[in-house]
Amino acid sequence: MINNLTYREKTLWLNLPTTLALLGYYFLSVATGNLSGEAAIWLYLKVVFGIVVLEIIVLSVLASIQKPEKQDERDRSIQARAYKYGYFVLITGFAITLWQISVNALANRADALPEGEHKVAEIVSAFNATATPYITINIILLTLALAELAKSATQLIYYRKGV
Amino acid sequence: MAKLPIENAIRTFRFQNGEMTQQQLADKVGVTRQTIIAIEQARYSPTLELAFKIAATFNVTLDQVFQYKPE
Repeated sequence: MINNLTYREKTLWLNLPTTLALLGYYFLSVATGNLSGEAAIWLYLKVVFGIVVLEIIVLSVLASIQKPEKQDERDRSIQARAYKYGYFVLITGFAITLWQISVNALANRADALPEGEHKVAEIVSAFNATATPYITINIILLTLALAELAKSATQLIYYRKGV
Repeated sequence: MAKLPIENAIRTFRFQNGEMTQQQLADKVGVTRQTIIAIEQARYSPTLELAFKIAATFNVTLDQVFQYKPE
């Protein structure tokens, strides 16, 4: 079974759990802990550094076992399909972020709105109680992470399923 | 795993060409061994260029190697 995996597939199988675990740890810490903005940034940088270091180690070990292969047309075809799903996740996250920022801006301008529109701003504000820059940044980071995970997972599925 | 409607006789032609290995064929046409495996198992439809390369490696025409068989 393992011999039937391409070099790229093996790197995906090795990197995906690592990335999932480290980013999962970060977002779990953000969601459950009382991290300050500064602490969250430092934790995120540590997690990114950890991912990079682990990827270097994994790729070095793998390269010592198996000669890296050039990407062929099947790899490129699978990658192109995987990017489609990653892009979809990215655009969805982008839309959510845009909505959150717009709603936040509207809520902040509540006092300046004409009398009739105050009610709208109040409703929006109620929905928007958690819209802080800290959360917005973390939604963007989560979007990037999910897009990358969607891309990698799709690649692995297509390698097994066929294209 | 869903099979694609393009069948092929690569395995037969490899056997007829001095029992050429999948790796040898892969090296000749410039892809990975896993891509040859995927094509043989009808899990990947090669590009026209790769299909021609494979046929040329066996000195046969394209339709001798690949057949389109829709369900």
